[in-house]
Amino acid sequence: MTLSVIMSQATIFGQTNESDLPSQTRALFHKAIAEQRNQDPKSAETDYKEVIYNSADFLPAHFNLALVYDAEDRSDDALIELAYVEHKMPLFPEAQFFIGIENFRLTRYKTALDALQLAVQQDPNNPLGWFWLGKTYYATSQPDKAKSALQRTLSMAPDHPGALYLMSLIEISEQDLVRSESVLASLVERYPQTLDFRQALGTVYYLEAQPDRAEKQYREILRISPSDPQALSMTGLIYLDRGEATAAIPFLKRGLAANPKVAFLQVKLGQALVDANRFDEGLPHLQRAASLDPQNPAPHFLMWKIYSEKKDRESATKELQEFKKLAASVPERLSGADLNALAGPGRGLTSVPLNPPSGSPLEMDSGNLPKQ
Amino acid sequence: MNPDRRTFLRAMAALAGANASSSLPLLATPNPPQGSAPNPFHVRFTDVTKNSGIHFAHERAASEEKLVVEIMGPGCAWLDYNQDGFLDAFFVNSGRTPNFQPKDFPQPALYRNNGDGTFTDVSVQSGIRLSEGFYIGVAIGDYDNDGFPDIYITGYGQSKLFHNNKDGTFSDVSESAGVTNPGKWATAAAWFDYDHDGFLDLLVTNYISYDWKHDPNCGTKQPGYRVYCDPFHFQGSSMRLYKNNRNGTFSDVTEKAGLVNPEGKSLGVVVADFDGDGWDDILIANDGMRSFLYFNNRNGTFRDVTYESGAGFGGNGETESGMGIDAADVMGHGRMDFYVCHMDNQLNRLYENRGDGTFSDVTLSSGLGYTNIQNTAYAAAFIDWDNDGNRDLLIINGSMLDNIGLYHPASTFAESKRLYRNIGAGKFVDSSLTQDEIFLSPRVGRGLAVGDFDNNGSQDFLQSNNGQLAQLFQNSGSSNHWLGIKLIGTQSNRDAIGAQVRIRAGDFVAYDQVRGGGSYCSSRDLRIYFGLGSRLRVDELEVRWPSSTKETFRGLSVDQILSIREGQGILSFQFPKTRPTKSSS
Repeated sequence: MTLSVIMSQATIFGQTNESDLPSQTRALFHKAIAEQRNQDPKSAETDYKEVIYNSADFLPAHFNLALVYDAEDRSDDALIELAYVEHKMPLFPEAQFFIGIENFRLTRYKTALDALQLAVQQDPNNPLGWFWLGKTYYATSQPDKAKSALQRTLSMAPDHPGALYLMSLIEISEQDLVRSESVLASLVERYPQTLDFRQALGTVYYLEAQPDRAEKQYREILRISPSDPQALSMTGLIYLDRGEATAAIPFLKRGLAANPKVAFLQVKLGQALVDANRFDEGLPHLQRAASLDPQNPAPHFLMWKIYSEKKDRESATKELQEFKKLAASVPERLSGADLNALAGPGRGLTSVPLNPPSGSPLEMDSGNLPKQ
Repeated sequence: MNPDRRTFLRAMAALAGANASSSLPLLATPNPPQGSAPNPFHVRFTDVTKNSGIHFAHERAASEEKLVVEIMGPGCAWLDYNQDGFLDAFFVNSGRTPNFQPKDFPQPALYRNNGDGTFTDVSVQSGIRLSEGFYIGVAIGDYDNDGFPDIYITGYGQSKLFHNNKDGTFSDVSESAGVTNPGKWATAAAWFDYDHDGFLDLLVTNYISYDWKHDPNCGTKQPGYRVYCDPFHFQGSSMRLYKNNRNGTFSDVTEKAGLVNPEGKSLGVVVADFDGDGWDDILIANDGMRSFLYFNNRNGTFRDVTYESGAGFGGNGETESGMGIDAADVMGHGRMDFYVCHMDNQLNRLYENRGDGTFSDVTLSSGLGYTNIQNTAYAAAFIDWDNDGNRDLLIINGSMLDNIGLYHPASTFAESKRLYRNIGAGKFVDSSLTQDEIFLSPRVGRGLAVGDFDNNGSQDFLQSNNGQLAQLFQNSGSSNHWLGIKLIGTQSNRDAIGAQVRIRAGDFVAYDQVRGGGSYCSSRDLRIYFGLGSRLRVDELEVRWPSSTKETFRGLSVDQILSIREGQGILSFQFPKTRPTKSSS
C-alpha cells in the first residue's frame, strides 16, 4: 500500500545514501523493493534483513521492512524498525506517520495521537497524515477535532474516500443525514464492493425511515457477503419495523448467531417471536437478554406479556414486578453502540475500521484504491 | 392481533350480526379493507384561513433565556358559543414572562362563525380578557348544563374558567369556581362526568414543577446554542380532579379519587371508557416517562392500571416523550384504541384495546411505524376524513427547539403535518403527499381541533402554531355518505361526554364515544360523525348515555346531523349548512 512512499523516500535519507552501498547490497535492496511491490513480503523481508545485515545504517531498508511488517499486520515488529528510523532521523515525518498508524492498529491511541500530531507538524501538506490524525481523534471520541483534521485532508484531496466516509459517520452521529446520504451514495457508486460504505448508507436510510432503500443496501451486502452479521441483523430489524415479525425472525436469528452476547439483539428476536405468537421460543432469548443486561427492563416487559398469554400468573406477576423496578427511560431507537454491536469486531457505525483488508478505500493511500 | 384472535372476533361478529334485528352486536364488524390507495376518494384539505377572516397570530414570548413555557403552546378549540348551530373557533395565546413584557397583554381570540365560510373576530365583545399569567391550552364544556359551552384555559401559575353568559359574552369565574389550579403549570384538561351525577367535572393535568425565574441553562454553552430544557431537568406535578358541586363551584377531590401522582409530566389527556364498563377512564400522556391509565372504579375513585394494562409503555417497555393523545375505535372491534404522539426519533404509538383491560402496541404492524420518526408530533386526532367508515389519523408536527438546526442541520423548527388513511382494521397508509403544498408546508404545529365547521359532513380542522398564524383547513368532502349526531344529555351531562354510540348500516357496524380531552391542549367538535361509505341508510343507532339509559333509533337517513336529546328522541332542530358568500356565489 505504501510503495510510493518507499520509492520517494529512498534517496533522501542522509545517513547512508544508496550510492554508498556496495553494488551487491544495492542490487539486493532493489530486489527487495520489487518483491515488496509484487506482494511477496516473505522474500522482501528476507532480503531487507540481508541488506540491513550488510549495512546496518541504511535507513531505507529499515523503513521499508517496517512497511512489510505493516502489510503482514506485524505492528510490533514494524514499530521496532520505525523506532530505529526515528532515532536516527527524528525530523523525518514519514517515521512519525507510520509510528502513529502502527500504534493505532495496536489501539494505543494516545501514542498514536502524539506521533500523528508530530507528523502533521513536520509535513502539514500530507493529506494522509491529517486523515490518520482525524481517524484517531474519531476513535477516541473527539468528533470535533476529527472533523477539523478530516477537513484538512479533504481540502487537499477532496475525493479521499476514507475521509469522506469518516466525515459521514460523524455527520450521522450528529443527525446530519442529508449530507451523509449523498456522500455515502456517491462512495457506494464508486466502490460498490466496499461493504462498510453500504453499511453506513443503509444505516442512513434506516435512520431516515426509508426502510426499502436501507433494505436494498443490506440485501446487496448479503449478496456479496452472505453471513455479514450486521446486514443480517439490520434486515431483520427492518422487517420487524414493518410489522413482519415472521419474516424478521430468520434474519435476526442468523445475526444473533454471530453476536450471541448482544442483549439488544436478543430482545429484538424475543420481540419478533412474541409478535409472531411463538412465545415458547421467545422466552429463552428474553431470559438470555435479561441475564446479559440485568438493568434493561425490556426483556421483563416482554416476558410479562408471554407469561400473561400463557396464563402463568405467578411468573407474569414476577416479571411485571421486575419491570416496574427497572422501568426507566430506555433508548427507543438504535444507538450507535447498538449498531456497533451488530457489526462484529472492527466494523460498525461508530467504530473506525481497524486493519481493513488490503486495498480497502478506507485506508489512506489513494494509489491503492480499487478500480472504479 | 393474532390470527386466532381475529378469527374469533370475526366468528363472534358473524354470530352477533345474525341477531342484529333485535339488538346491536357487542362487537363491531371491521370495515373490510378497501385497497391501500392513500386517497381513493380524492379528498383535499384546503387552507381557507385567509378567506375565512381568521387572522390569529400566537405570540411566542420568545427570549434568549428559553423559558420552557414559551415553546409549549398554544391549543385551539371548536365551540358553538352562541348556539346558532355553527362551530366557532377559539385560540389560546401566551402571556407575559419575566423576559417578555409587552405593553399589550397577548389575548386569546374568539371567532364567530358567520355561517357563510367566514368568521368574525368577537374577542373583545366576548369579554374574554386576560391581564396576567401565561396560557397554553383549552378545554370546552358546559359545566352548568345551561346549553352554552364554557371555556377553561390552562396556564402556568394559574388557569381560567370563563362562564358563557348566553348573550355572546363570558365572565371570568375562575376564583369563585375554585379551579385556578394555583401555582401549577396546567397543560391539557378534560371535562367529563366521572361520578355520573349529571354534571361535568374537570380534570386538569399539570406539566412539570417549574419556576421560570430559575429555568436552567440547557444546551451547548455558546451564544445561540441555549435550548429549551427537557423534562428530565424538573420534578413532575400531579394532575388535579375538580368535582362539580352543581352550584358553580368545584372541589378538589384528587386525593379522594386516588389520582395523586406527583410523577406526572403531563401534556395530553383523553377521557373515554376503555374497559367497556360504561364509565369514563383517564389516559394521560407524559413527557419523558410512562403514560398513565386510570380505570374508573365507579365509586368516585380510580385505580392506576398503567403497568398491568401495558398502556403506559411501548412494545418493549419503552418510555418516551408523550404529548398529544387521542382515542377511537380504530380496529373496528367496538372498543377504544388509542394513539400517543412523541418526539422526533421516537415512535408515535398506536395501541390496540384487547378488550380484557390490556393493550398491545401495534405501531409497527399498523403500518404507521417509522413514518413520522423525524418529526416531533404534538397533536393527533382520529378523523374519518374520507367518510369511508374507518377512523383515519392526522398528526401535527413541530420541533421543541427553535434553534434545532444548530444541532441537527437537517432538522427544522417548523415541520410538516402527516395525514394517514385507515385502509381497514387499523392498517394505515401515509396520505400526506396526496395533499397540496400549503397543507404540507412546515409549521411549528401545536394545537389541533377537528370539527365540521360548515356542517357538510366532512371533517375540517383548526391548527394552532407556536409563534405563527393559526390555520383553518376545509375538507373538500367525498362521494361517501355520513351521519352526524349531536347528543344532548338531560339526566346525563348536557354535553353527553361519556355517551357511547353504535350504528349498524347493513353489514357495517361502527362505534364511538363522546370523549373529553384528546389532541394536544385542544378541544374538538363534540358531535359524533360516522362515515358510511356508499351506504344510504342507517338501520339502527344505539345510544348508551352516561346515566346508563339506552335508546335505539331505526331507519335513519344519511347525510344529516341528528340532534338527540336524552329521553326525548330526535329533535326537529336542523343544523344549518354553510351558505355561500357573495363573493363565492
